[in-house]
Amino acid sequence: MKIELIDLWFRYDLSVNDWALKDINLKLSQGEKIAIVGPAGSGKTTLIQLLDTLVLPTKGDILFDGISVGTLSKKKQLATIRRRIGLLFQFPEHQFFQESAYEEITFGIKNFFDLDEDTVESMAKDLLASFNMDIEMIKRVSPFNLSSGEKRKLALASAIILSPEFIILDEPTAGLDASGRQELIKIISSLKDTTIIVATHNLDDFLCIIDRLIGLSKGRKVLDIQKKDTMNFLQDMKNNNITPPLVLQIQRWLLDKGINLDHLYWEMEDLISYLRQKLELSPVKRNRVP
Amino acid sequence: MSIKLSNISFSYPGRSVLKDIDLEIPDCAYYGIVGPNGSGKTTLAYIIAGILPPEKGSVDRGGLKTGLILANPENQIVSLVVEEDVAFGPENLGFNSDYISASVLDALAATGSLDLRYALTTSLSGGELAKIAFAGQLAMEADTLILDEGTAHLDPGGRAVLFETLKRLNQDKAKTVIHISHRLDDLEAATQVVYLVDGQVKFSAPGVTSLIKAYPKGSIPDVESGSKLIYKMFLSSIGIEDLSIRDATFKLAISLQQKD
Repeated sequence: MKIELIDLWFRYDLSVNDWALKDINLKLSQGEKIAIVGPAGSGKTTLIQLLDTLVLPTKGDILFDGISVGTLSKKKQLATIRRRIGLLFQFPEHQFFQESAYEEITFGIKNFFDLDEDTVESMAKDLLASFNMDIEMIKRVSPFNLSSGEKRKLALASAIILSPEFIILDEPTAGLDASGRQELIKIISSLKDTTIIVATHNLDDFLCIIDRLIGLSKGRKVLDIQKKDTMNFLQDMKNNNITPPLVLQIQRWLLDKGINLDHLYWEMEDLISYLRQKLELSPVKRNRVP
Repeated sequence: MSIKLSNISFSYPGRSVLKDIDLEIPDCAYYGIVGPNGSGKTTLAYIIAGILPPEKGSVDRGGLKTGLILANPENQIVSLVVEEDVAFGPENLGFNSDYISASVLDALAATGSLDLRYALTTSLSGGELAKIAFAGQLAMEADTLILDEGTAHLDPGGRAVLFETLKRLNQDKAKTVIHISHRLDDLEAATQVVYLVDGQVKFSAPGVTSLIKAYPKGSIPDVESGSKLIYKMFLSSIGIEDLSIRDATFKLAISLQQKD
């Protein structure tokens, strides 16, 4: 699926001249891995809601495979778009409503597709196994009694089971500990053909898996670059109150001092390993989730 | 004066959360508690704050009044206007109105939020909401502020504001701070850090650097250190310390040039 935003403006309250998004033009293609960054209140969550057709543009348009969101809305066909887009809310408990975690994960697939119970269970079992979650445990517990990391995984599994073409994640790693974060990022990076859109304050977490970076500030798009070009836009990020990833900032400073790196590093641990090697220090073993 | 926890244990139905915790938190300390999700941090915060009674063991608060700031401070804001929200606690404690007016102003000043006095609480950012929640606790004469996470959903600017406020309350206003987080880099200002795993104190060290150094591989299991702290530890391991990140990197560049 292709999504195109054209001259898009949005405000929540039509009675005041307070725009949450201003004049956004954007093209999103199948398979892209995109991070949306920006300070609090810059419009990230609003943009996500528009992409999932939870709200409609105040001015301008969004085209889904060339069809206007207004047309889809009039024909009552927004559900056909939402079915193709998975959404993970910032607070996963806001999207839970079933008594058991198993009912939660299978709710969408039972409603969107006409499948028998055995097929649904087998799909859920396979998916949960890849998430390192036990289906018997999932059948027993309420989604609200899971830990924060497990809630996040359950919400993501509930989206992935529908094989969406786009997955949109709002602050997916906020509040997660190191292993929860690594596990979630590993799952996201395994979704090769799916378009991934991540809105985040923690760009450092996602630098290794994205290929495009979109920056928002005060409702405007202030940055739309390929990841490989990020090094040239660190000052632009700062000017728009977007904190550049430290790992890139350090490499910028080193390059400015005439230090050549063999290539750009996206993760701090990798950069440090390289620097230790250059300084002829012994390597340090890294702790990774297997 | 200090807060003393002796032999504290606690379970939720079917699940043991805290096991034999002994802690002594000195007055005016900046005390950090770090641990993975599910290690019992929030339960411990509730027990220190007196919201949950321990199942076993005892808490001696040494006459200190504790105030708790929740993981999502939005959940403890009750009024539409900032000033009224800060006054809500002392009003319910039955303080007289002149005293309340003065303590609300003091509390707003102490948290650097006097300019928000007449603002609508619905219009505040996450960092500002946390400051107002602190002010509410201060207006109730809390000597000890317990922050349960609280930075997860803030942007880097909001986090910086919150840490600055905590540091000022600790250093200038002599408040004891108990700061709970799953991220070690949140606790850089802490003078004592406790590492909690599976409801037990696994390690205690004077500051995050000492805690990391205690772990031979330079990384603590299941604790997010944050890239800044990881980098600082690397710099420290090659003898570059007490500099800003930028100046330290320039010094590193000199070492690298010498190797080339």
